[in-house]
Amino acid sequence: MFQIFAVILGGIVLGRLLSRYKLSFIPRLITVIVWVLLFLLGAEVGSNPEVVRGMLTLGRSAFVIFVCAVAGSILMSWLLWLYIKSKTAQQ
Amino acid sequence: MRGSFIIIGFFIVGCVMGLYHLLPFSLEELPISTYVLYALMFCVGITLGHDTTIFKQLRTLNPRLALLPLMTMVGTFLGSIVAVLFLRSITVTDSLAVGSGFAYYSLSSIFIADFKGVELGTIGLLANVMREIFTLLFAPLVAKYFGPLAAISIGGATTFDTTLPIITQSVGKEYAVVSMFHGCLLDFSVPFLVTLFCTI
Repeated sequence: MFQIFAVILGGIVLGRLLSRYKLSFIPRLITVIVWVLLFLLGAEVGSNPEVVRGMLTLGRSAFVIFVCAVAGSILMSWLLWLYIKSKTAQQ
Repeated sequence: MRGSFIIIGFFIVGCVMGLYHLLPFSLEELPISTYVLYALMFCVGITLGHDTTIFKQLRTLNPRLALLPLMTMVGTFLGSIVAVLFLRSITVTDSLAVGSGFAYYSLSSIFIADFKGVELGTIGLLANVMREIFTLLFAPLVAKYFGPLAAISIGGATTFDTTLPIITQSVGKEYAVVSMFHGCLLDFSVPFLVTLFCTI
């Protein structure tokens, strides 16, 4: 957790120092790194025999919980967004 | 949308290579994904520091946005309780423990497996992997229909790191700070909430 903080902070400082230069390659680099991370996540899932064997039955339960949890999150954050929008419109 | 298919493609190729042991290295011995994650965070940091307008935008942000992590928690809990209605072998606290992973699959699944066994641990892993992948794929679409906060909320604890680039790309860099605050807070809550729901 704190290591990640330090890494982000280091990046922010470097980005600040290089603010005169155009760093247009960074967003492309980020996209590539996200690909690598997803590949590694897949590899982790695929090489775990317990997860692979239980994929179908356990996957169904996981899917139901995932769908409901995400739907609940969307609903609550949407309500907060509507509330904030109505408050800022009043002001 | 094309970018999303490429992402899922990489995930599937990774699955297949892991399944047939085609990787030239062992993921358990080499924490490669941790280093790749650090590289990602470093790059995200550079883009944040490079854009000098972000700090001005930060001051104009609404303080009510600090409520977002709470909304994500309440919404996830409500959803996890509703999910039990569709599942026979899962108790309410089991479902809440899985939901409390907030897409932080690595940590939550280890905790759940430790308390409740490998089966629920695997459910926790899968449900939270699905949540992260869903965020990576559909954050732009969710932002379009339910506003920028929903795009952050679905990412749960990952809006601090892995899903941060996708979220800032789909809702704008001015929300990067909200996203990081949200992810950071949920990240801390995962071990506590998962343990709580596994033990009550």
